[in-house]
Amino acid sequence: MLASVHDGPRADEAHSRDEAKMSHPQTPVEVDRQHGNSPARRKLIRGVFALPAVAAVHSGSALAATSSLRCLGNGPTGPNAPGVILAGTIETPMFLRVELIVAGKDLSTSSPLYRYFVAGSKVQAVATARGVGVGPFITLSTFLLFNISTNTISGSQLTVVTADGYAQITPTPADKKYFAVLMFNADGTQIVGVGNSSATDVHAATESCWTSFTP
Amino acid sequence: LTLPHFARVPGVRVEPLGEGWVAYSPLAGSTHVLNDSGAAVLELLDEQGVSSSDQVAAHIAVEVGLPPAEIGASIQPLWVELIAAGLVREIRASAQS
Repeated sequence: MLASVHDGPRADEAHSRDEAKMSHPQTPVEVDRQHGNSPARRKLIRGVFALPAVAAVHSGSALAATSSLRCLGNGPTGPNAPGVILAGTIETPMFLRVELIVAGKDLSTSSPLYRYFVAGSKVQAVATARGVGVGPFITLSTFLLFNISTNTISGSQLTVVTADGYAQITPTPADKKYFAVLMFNADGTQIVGVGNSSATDVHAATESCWTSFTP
Repeated sequence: LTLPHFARVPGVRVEPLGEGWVAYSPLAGSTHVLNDSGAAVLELLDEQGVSSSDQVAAHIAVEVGLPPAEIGASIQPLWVELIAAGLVREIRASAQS
């Protein structure tokens, strides 16, 4: 936690003048009286004055930023993003993720169809909880179609999930409840995507990594 | 012509920590570690009020029994660091002589 202090010169390197000591004779009592309530100066040694030193103590957040960069730098990047996670699955390591919205049609038939979406509101909720921002890939009120097989976003931002005869399914059935892994920018300050992408400067973050810099 | 004087920033807290000192600046919202010499300079500013580098050096010189010029040379680079740390502020005063 504490930054190292620039060492002042050792006593044998510090200024020392026997002549000066002789020209300013003082008894300990005189020195104490002179110093009064001056604890720092009481610690100074006669005949020695080390170079004064000041060193910043890094704040927790500064250390966190350093730690986050290291953690994220070691995490999977866009082309190798971890796949979607089915609810109830305990994967190791655990990556920060967002729950997908499910829409379906022809549900009463033998061939129901399903679509999965990333909801901007859910991404924002995670971002708020984690204290980071959200990149322009999605806004609070939009959705992105997500292919859980290829682990990629399909198309551009949508305002509804109900196009083409699909309807949102709530609550999400357990076997359709998937989470997609969130991808962060290089300094861990923004969610910039979900799942696979061609970007190599985006990173998945594990829970353990995250908690190590956001206690 | 002005002569730089220095004053301790109000509210700065200095506490012993092990063999050194920690100083918190409400101005900068940060904490710094100081050695005895650095803390002594802050302490003198607190006791003496607004002081020039030479005045601080003269006080310390008497206490440690070293020539003021040597102390002055040692503490001269410190002011920039103390100001940057939010522990001291510089006050420009008219030269007295």
